[in-house]
Amino acid sequence: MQPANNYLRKPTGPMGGMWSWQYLNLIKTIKLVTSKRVKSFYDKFPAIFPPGEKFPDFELKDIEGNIHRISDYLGKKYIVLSTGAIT
Amino acid sequence: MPFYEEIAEKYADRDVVVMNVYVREPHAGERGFPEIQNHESYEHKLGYAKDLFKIKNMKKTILLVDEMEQKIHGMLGELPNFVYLIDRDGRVKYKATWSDAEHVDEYLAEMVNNDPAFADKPKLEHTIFTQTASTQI
Repeated sequence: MQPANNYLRKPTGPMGGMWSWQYLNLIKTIKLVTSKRVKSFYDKFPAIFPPGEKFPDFELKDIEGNIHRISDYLGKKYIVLSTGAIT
Repeated sequence: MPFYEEIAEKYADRDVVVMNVYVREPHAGERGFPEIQNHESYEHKLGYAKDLFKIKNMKKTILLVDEMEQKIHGMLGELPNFVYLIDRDGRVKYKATWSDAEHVDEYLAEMVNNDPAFADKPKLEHTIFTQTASTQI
């Protein structure tokens, strides 16, 4: 037998997750899109290191603990830099 | 898929280094990844990074692990799948907020083929990537 409050449960179809019911709340969505924080982010984003600009130097450890610096490769290598995550 | 691994192999003798920064999990605990949780400590993050290294079968890619405070990721705009091509002099040659295997390969091939240092080497052809999810990693 279906529980009485079945309609309150999150949809579990293929469009669950990111596009779940809470994102369909129009007022929330409009508030988010027009919020200052989101606007300022999209306004400034193209300005972050556009083509032709000097890329900043930084250093990070790899998974074995060796430190890699961007400046170590300058003048020697082309660098392809991207991000990764499991999900 | 490892398209960055393919790029690293293709350009191995053309002085190209492929770096991947392991950042926060954008979809931790969501559909399809119920066992992946948000990072609690650097060791936790490092463990996931090592898993990713195995999953993607990385051999030539350098996998960097960002700090817990998202220092580097924050500096670069906090996007989950950006890509930068950086020239030898440290200038950005190409940038995309959502990486596309075809574009990355096209720009890299152009950069390398026009480099006088490789004038005696054969020109590299543009690879057509057939994966639908060309943007992974």
